[in-house]
Amino acid sequence: MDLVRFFEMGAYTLYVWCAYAATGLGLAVILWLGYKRLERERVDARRMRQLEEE
Amino acid sequence: MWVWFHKLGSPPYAYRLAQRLQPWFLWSSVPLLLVAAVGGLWLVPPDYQQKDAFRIFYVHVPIASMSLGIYMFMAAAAAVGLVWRMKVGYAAAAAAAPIGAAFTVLALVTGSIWGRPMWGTWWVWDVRVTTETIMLFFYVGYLSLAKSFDDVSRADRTAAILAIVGSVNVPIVKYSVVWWNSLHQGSTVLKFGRPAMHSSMLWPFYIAMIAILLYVGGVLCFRIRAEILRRDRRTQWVADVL
Repeated sequence: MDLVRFFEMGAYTLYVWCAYAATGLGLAVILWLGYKRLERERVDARRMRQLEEE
Repeated sequence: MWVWFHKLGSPPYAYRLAQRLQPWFLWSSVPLLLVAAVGGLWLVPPDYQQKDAFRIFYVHVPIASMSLGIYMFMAAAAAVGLVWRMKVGYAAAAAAAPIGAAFTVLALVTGSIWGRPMWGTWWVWDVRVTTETIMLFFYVGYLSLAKSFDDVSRADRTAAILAIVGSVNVPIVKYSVVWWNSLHQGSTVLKFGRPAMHSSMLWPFYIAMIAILLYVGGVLCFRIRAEILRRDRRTQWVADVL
């Protein structure tokens, strides 16, 4: 299917795009939050180690 | 097998394994996700009844299936924690819960977007939608319970019991469309017998399933590492790793 045909699909196009965009955004956010969580735990563990050494 | 299982119970081993597997899972999921999206959006023919709206199938079904799969993983990991008193089991369950909750929300959102053109409404208290929502409550309940105790081991045990009890809901979600009259369509691919779809429309679905599975594996590695660090932050091996 070419690009012109895709944009001519009519009323359903918007719903399809919304579903794909919501999924893409959702997956990106889940990945970002997972990465941030790991970073936070690493910082906390390092800080605790420093405090104990002091 | 048992030797590997017991090795997996060691936090340093599980942490390093997750660290090693994580980039492989994540980087291999990216091209597969793109291929599945291009296939689903452009390359497969439109459905004869639902026309182009059926293309939501390629995101909704893998996400919804994974929300059930993650719950089973969480309950199994919690059971391993309870039975064998493995900290890594509890850590894996706690790591899976937020991912599963987010996947359940995504499944409900994409289902709602699909429901609007097909059913004429964003939301209906259909049996499949309702049982999936109940599963979201189990995820939220698990997360709340795990945070409501200062003592980590007590929180782990209590939340694990809820996770195991909630696993009863998983087959109910899966077979709700078979057991009751439902507005939601029946299983198309993930069922006994041949898929009810033509092979020309199936291949992006299989790629999307593999891609999402790898993606979940990658994110799970992030969160398992974080959970292990939280539990073991005072130990010597964490100091060595950091």
